Amino acid sequence: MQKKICLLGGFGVGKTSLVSRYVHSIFSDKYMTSVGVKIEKKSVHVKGTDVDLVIWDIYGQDDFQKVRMSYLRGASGYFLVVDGTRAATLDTALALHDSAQQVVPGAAFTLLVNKADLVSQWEVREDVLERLRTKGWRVLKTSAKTGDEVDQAFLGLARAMLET
Amino acid sequence: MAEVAVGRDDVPAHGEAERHAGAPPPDPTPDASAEGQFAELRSLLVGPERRDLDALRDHVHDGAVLTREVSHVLPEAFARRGQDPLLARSLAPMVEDAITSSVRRDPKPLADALFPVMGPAIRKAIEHMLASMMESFNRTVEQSLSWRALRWRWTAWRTGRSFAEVVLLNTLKYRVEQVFLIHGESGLLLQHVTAPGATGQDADQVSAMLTAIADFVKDSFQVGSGEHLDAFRVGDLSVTVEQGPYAVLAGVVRGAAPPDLRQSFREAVESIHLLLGTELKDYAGDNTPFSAARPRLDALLVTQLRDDAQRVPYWRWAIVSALVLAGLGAWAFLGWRDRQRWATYLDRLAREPGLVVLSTASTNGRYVVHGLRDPLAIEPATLIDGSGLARDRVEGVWEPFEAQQPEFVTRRAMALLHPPPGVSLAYRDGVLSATGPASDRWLVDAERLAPALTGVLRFDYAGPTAAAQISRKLEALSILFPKGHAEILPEQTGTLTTAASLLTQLADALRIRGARAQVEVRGHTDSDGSDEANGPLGTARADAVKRILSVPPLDGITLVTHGVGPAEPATSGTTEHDKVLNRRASLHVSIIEPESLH
Ligand SMILES: Nc1nc2c(ncn2[C@@H]2O[C@H](COP(=O)(O)OP(=O)(O)O)[C@@H](O)[C@H]2O)c(=O)[nH]1
Ligand SMILES: [Mg+2]
Repeated sequence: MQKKICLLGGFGVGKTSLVSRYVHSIFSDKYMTSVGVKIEKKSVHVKGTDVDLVIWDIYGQDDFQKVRMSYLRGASGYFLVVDGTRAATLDTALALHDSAQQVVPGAAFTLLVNKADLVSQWEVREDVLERLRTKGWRVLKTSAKTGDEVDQAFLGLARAMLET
Repeated sequence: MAEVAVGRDDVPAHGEAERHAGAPPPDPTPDASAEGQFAELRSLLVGPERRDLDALRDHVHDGAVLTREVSHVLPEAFARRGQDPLLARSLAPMVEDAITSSVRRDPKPLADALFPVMGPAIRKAIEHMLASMMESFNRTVEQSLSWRALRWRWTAWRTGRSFAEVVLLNTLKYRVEQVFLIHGESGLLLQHVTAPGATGQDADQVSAMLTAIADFVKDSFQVGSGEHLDAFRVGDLSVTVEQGPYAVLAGVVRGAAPPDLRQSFREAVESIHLLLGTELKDYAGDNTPFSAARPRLDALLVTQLRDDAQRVPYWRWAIVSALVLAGLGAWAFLGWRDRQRWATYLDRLAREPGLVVLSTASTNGRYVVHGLRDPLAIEPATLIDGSGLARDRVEGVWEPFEAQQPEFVTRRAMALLHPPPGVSLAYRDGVLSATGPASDRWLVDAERLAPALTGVLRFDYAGPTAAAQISRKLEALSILFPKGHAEILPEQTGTLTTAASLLTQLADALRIRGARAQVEVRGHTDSDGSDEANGPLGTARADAVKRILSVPPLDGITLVTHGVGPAEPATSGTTEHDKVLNRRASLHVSIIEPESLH
């Protein structure tokens, strides 16, 4: 079983770092800047199934309009990545989420509030995250630096994709 | 249907109907008559259909009839399968199951049935295999024997690529190295095939990347909808992309792809959509159904070689192999000859006294010999010359040592002792012996020095000593006397002077050795006259000689006299001349060696 997943989020939120934390790459980063996407692969085993995740790390810009949403086509799930130290990146993520749902309606997704190791400097407020959770969102606080919750994020999304 | 139509015709005409409507017919029992009328009407209206329905019901419920009917329809349906791929597709698993269970029950009937087909098929497969083996063999032979092949070998060596790769690149028109079947929307890889020997990165990632690139191109250059990237090229590699409604075929091609390659990709995409349309449409990550597309992808992995790869004519082949054989022969012969020469040289070294070979080695046509060499032995390199080997191919490492062979001991003795001319040295079993006329002085030195030589335990002089030689000369002298007299004649002065000088030499020789001598002067007479007279005459003659020789007296030499009369004639003849020779005095030397003095 294979599934395409994407990482969406503003510039510098830590998408590439999260993927690097999770897989070992064969392509160099230069593809990223030229084509705007970098592709990694990782196999996981969830719910008794082997799932090959093909991970599209999309080059993010602060202006989310410039993100090529066509890259999302055929994705079974995506991450919305937010930099916890910059509240504005949450707005970007929410806007990207709206666009994404138009391309892949019903796709599974998880909100990752990254840079959990810098939690003292966070601007993203806990009550905002709590409100999203009550809407049924999966919200995780990750750190690409320490690896906190990174494995859980990928496994959780894989599981959610098998359920939908 | 016909019956129904007839039924309709029974319906009253328009006017009558109006009449019915205007004045209804009499009805004796309103309910019962209404019901009866309705049944009648029904039978009038649908009676024929009813009969049909009944017949149909019988059909359906009677299995035999249904079977008969279906068996009429089926052949026609199968005959139409061309228009309906669904039929074949749905039948396939059934047929497979049937065959599987038949084989499981008893494979023989199926084997029998297939036998006429299998035989030729297997033969054809084997022929094909042999043909392609021959083809590749021929190619190998051709390629290993041409100048071009040498050039390619050089290129391969220079660039570090494998020879096979260089050959392929040079003879290749084009080759489809990889084919990707990609899910159009997600870019997920459905199937992937690789030509033997071709290598590629992780196909899943490449597949996604290809899709991303296609999307990128589409987004970046504002192409119209329905248009898309269908080829791109990097150096010698190009990627042919063929879009289908749900899946994309991408082929990685090395070399110049011909236009009809695109056509085969086109056809492959179509046939894959025909085969797996539903699976593609509903794709949710499960790749298992797509292994069915593999044969179609494999068929796209074509390799087309250039036909300008001209063949090497057979005569050239023959010449080249002859040259190769001759080369090998020469090489083998030269190697053999070298080994012979080396063996010859080693043999000579082994035979040569004063040289001891300890070890030998040969590497890359160079030879090394380690050994011991007596400084007096021949220079080993001079033995190379006769062997046929070049001197500079042989390295000799020689340690000095003293050989124990008699000739080396002798030669060392010669060098140390410098024997006088006429004296020769010989060595055997620890004894160095000298022969020939050696001076006593030399003998004394030799006796003292010889044991210092390695291997010499004792020095032995087998020849006459100087003293013995002088003695022999003294003993050869005769001092002649006149008849009946004992006085010294003037003409005997020369002989006496000789005797005196020999005595002086004897004294010298004796002194060196610490020896002494007794010189007996004997007086002789001829046979004439009486014994009484001859006895005293002889003594007188001896005394006369002694008197002269004892002046001056010599150390170590004692002179004694003895008259022997005619008893020891110099000659046994009786002529006057014989008698002259017999009237004489003679000298007899006895040497007393120092040892005997002790
Ligand atoms: N402290 C901290 N820094 C992070 C973390 N994740 C990413 N970064 C840093 O944030 C910067 C941007 O990361 P990158 O992965 O390139 O972000 P992207 O643009 O979303 O791909 C880099 O300097 C990272 O080292 C994290 O979890 N903790
Ligand atoms: Mg990045």
